[in-house]
Amino acid sequence: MSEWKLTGRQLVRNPLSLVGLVIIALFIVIAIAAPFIAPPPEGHRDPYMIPRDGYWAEPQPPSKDHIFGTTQGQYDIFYGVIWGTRTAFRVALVVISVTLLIGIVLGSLAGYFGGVIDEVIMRITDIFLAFPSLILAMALVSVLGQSLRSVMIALIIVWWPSYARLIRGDILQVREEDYVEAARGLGASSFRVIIRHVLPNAIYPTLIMASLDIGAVVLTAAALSFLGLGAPEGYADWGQMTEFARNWIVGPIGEPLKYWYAVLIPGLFILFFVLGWNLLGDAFRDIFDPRLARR
Amino acid sequence: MELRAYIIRRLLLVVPVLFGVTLFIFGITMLFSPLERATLYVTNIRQLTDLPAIVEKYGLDKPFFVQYGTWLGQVLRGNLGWSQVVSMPIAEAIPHLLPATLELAIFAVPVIILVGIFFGTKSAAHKDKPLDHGTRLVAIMGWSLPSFWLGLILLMIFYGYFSGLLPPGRLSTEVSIFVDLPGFTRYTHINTIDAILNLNGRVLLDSLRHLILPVTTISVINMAFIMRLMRSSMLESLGKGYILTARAKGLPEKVVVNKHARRNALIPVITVSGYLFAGLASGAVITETIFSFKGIGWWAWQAAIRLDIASVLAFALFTATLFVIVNLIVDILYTRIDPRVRLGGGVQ
Amino acid sequence: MAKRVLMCIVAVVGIIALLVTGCTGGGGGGIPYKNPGVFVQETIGELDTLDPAWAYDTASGEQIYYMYEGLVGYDGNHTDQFVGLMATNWTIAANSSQITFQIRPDVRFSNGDYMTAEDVEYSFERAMVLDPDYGPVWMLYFPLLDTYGSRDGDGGFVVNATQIDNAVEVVNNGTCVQFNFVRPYPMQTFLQILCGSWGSIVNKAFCVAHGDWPGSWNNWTLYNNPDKEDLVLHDIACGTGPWALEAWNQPGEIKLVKNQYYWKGAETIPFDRVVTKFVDAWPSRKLSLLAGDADLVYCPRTNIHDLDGVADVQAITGLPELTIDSFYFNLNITPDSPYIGSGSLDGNGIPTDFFSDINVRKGLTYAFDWNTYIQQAMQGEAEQRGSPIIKGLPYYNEATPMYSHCLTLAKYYLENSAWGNLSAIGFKFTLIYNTGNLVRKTACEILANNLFAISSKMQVAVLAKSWSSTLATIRGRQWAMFQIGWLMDYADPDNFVFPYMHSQGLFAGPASYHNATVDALIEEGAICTNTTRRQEIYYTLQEAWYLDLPGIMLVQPLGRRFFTKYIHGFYFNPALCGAPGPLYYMSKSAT
Repeated sequence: MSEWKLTGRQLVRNPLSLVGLVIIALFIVIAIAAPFIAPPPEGHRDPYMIPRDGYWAEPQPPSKDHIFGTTQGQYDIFYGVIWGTRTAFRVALVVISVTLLIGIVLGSLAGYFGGVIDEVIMRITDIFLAFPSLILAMALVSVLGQSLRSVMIALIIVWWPSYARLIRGDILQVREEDYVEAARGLGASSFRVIIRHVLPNAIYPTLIMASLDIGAVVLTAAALSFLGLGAPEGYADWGQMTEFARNWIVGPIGEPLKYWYAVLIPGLFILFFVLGWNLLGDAFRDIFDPRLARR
Repeated sequence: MELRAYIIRRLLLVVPVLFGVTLFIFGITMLFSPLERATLYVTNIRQLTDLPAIVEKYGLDKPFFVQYGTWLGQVLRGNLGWSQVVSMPIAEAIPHLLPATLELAIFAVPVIILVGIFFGTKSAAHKDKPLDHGTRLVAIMGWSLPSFWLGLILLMIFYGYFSGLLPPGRLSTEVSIFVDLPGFTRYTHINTIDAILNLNGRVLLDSLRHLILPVTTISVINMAFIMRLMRSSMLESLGKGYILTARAKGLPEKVVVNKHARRNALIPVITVSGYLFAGLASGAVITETIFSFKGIGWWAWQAAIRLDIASVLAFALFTATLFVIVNLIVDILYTRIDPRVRLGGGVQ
Repeated sequence: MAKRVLMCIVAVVGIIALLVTGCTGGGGGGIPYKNPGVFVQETIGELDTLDPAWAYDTASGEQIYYMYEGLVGYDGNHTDQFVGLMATNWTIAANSSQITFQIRPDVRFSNGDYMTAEDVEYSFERAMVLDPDYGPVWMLYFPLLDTYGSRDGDGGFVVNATQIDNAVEVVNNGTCVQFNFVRPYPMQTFLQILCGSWGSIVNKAFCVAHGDWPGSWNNWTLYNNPDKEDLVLHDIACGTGPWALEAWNQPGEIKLVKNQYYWKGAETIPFDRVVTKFVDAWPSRKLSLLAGDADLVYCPRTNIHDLDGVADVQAITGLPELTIDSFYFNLNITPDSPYIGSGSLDGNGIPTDFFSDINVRKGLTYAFDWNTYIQQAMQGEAEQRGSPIIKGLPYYNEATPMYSHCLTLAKYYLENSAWGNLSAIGFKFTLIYNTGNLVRKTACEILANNLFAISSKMQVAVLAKSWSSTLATIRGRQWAMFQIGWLMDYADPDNFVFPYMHSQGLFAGPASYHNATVDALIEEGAICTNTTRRQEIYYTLQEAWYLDLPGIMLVQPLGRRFFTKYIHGFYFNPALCGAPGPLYYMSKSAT
């Protein structure tokens, strides 16, 4: 476990990863405290649907009642970005954890047993990887019906092949190590060998990729929502809120940036959330890259 | 392994991948009810009652393998089908839409690679100093930007605030009328190349002006990746023995870095640029949509959401083939550049 | 180092040069006058086809309208008065089952060929021979041959060559074309039908030369119901209209060029070119208008106030479009529907025949708030209507009673429904709207929120679905209530009441609305030639809607046009396809 402590220390020393950690911590606080920071109004049924203050089309600028202003259709931006943090975490964690699980299982089977199993699984991943992932995700969301759940399922289906491949590669490396031979020689079952010996050592690169991918997952989910394939209109989702701003990027004559808040604010939240995770992931990479000398 | 045999073997491997991809896509679309798949052909609400007739006409309720077989039979005969999205045969649609996407790729890839290499080298040479941190921060910020948001912001500033300075679309109205007249010959439908071939400065400038924002958007997003790759590759290269020798010989640091270390560090970057190009050539959906640069990516997106299955399948064939060919070219190039690598084998 | 600095300077200078040359000097100071002689419009959507026998959407209809002409056209802004285009005059037989058109001499197609009565006969016979599935040709078949097409539901033919041949004939020594109807038909309606894009006159020689139906009757069935790939006039055109096709750059742009042979004289054509661009993003279209790059742009309802008070923008408002939007109740929902909750009245769902109770329908109707909807969602630009027959159609009766928003009455009817006191029992169902349509979503929310205000046990969820999914759901009868709009084919009340109120209509059918008296009245009115009787019928039908309440009639939207000040001569005719409308009568000048 001192491995982790050493890692932790390195993370904190690196200014970039420190910034990343701080950002992520901030977002975690926002997500947990959402019901207090932006309480849903009385009688509001679904807290993830942003409350509407009337049905007018034109976005309203920041004011006493709406700290960040409102979007098209009078959805409160402040409420939306705060609860959108929860949505982002939910999507990211669900997708990454399920993808990791599938990837670990299939990758381990392929890497450890090799042979036919390996070929089959690798061909299947080939098929998935040969197709541009965004389009595939779009097709899947179309099929499953527009909703956040469909987005999560689609992203899982699109993402797992890369992880399976990665785990397989790592296991191939680790498999030939002495201690694995030893365990096998002692009569340990394959399953036990995988779980106790191979996986723990193969897992690091995967975790790095996973942490970096949290940002990528949120970006892709936001892109899908932006294109109208993700969260429904009015849902507290950053991508969806940016979509609301699409018609308002140019204001009236003389005030071209009039609706800046509708465009800028949801996007900034996406940017910083992803930035935090990317900084962290980048630092991880630096730390675990075997080709670089460690200080 | 002999080069020709290797190429043939690799190209033959496309076939099972193509089968797999198309079967998979077909499978997904079969999850839609025949009625839903019939709505693709509905241009007018009146046709609502005709949905069952549409199902009949296109055999949308036949079993999976019958429909797949029919489609496959047509493809093998050279008929890729009709794209409802653009109202033309698919075999015409792809070459029709490809030039826009290629134009973006042709400009974006060099920008990404050159800028990425430049900053990656700088970063590696000053590892862990402020320059390194600063460059990495900016690059990672680019990587973290939602592409659609960046596109919107750029339009907001350069099209809105600066009133029409850098507009979306491929050409301005006047120029787009001009290029269809007999005086301008269309060779490739890539505006910049055609403008050069026609020796027409006005068209060239106009198309370049329209390219600035989309290429910037794509580049900013992808630059970080190349930069980071170059950086770690440079760091590895700088740690090698021959660098020590070069330094010991008293060569100036600049020469050590730029001439010796960089050349070797470029290898992985070159291979990645192949994939980058292939990826961009399959269409940057969001950029194409936001900047009205309707190319393959835009088409694939429309096809995916409107259930234009024939188009999605054709797109799958196109991208799968593209990726396999690019993989092949990259692998062959790799063996030329790095003598340790053998065709069909791993690194020595 | 120096080399690098030099490269940077060169790059920066290059960029500045680019921008300076490209910069058109927008910003303050009005809209510049650009592209003289060219009309440019930017709108949304996409073209389907240019073939008059196939096209059934407004974008295609608009381009066909510019390139082709029919026998007659609308007179100015009237939808019930006509001027002769390819015909100089016409006579209607006393028994109203024959109409003869005298064909205009000395008219030439855009390739120079002369237009004759043969071309006219060919145009209509061709349409009826091709009769693509789910196309517009039923509008020729029903009046002439009393069928809805050449084929029945199973693909078997219900007409033969003789029937089609006899329906349209060249008579009087090649100077006239005569239509023969199998039974009397109101000719006013038929003339309206002839004004549509499906009534376009095509060039027989041109079509045959390109592989179209040769005009003979052996093997005519081979040409019937073609695939789009085989459609000859899909992307080429040869018409008698003011403009001809120059280039169709799929996707996104179509360019038409002046027809040198136009019969009224090429010099009378106001625009050398007509360019239509399909641009999905409103900000781009807006800036094009403001930069003078477009003369007309389509503005979504949410943004109509963006251009308020802008110099040089000509905003024409309050245009009574012939379109209507409404909710519709499904009286017999399929049991496996995911939109009815538990499927029974246990507080968590609704039974499949929930809406069959008139009190339920009345209650829900009174719960809808038209004022809020019109003011906020429609930006004030709509008028409530009480039935499918709207203002601008003949026999529109302003005095027909209408419902209005009243929560007390809503509560009363819902608590006295056939199912019992719904405030106490409660119900749950889902309203669907097609994704991206904020106006429709708002209508659903208004209804849902008002019901919730009556009783918190009335829970209506609002769900977005893709357009294809919505259509399939309607067809599959799974929906509880849907919102749908109707845009006219021709300006006759029959075209509106049939889909809304006839048991086989587009909306009434999937809703299982069936009133035998109403059906009989509609069928009579469709072919009735007596105007007094027609008025009676349609007045009764308007009231029937009020009494039967198959749906909540929402509004007739008022349209807008945004031109630059340089465009003159626009007038509004709701029957014309496309936003510019009567383009031939308009002009563009710097003053």
